[in-house]
Amino acid sequence: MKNRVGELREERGWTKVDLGDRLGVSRQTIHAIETERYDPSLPLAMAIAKLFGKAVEDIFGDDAIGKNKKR
Amino acid sequence: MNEKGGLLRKWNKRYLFEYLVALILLLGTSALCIRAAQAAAARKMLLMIPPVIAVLLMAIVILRHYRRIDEFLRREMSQSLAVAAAFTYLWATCYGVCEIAGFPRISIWWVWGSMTVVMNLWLFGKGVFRR
Repeated sequence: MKNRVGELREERGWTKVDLGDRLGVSRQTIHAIETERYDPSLPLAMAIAKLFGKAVEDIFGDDAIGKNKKR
Repeated sequence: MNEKGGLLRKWNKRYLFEYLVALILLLGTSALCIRAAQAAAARKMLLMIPPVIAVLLMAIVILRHYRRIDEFLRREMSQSLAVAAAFTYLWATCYGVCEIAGFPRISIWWVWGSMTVVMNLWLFGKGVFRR
């Protein structure tokens, strides 16, 4: 699934390890989500959204990417 | 924040330590059993207990690691386990048929070895730990 995790992480100047530590997951998991090889579970997606201060649908899915491009 | 390497390194370090302790216990107790092979029957049976406890400990270590790792790594580990089980099932069944045809009998330890090797090859082949 397309997502903005990498973009939001880079905006904050965090490494994959930083983000992983904040979420309690490994760097490998962050990499897999950012490269769209793995779709996170609902609890993890919600934790990501909470951490970035956004709604889940603003981060995950084609709509999130589309919305961001329009801005 | 964790130092470079993140949570996976921390989980792996803990897993390797626990696994090595259990493995050393298994090898030590197995060596004792081999020595006791010529002992009296009752004593022999008693000496078979420690390796079983060591194997139980190894199973607990693996389960602890599985529960500790995150959801993505758990999925990758489950996939590797499925591949290893399928591969081992395939060759073990084929070889079982070959044994009926006269091939030499092999030890059950080959099954354990095959599972471990295939699981790790699959994980490293996919580059799960490199990324």
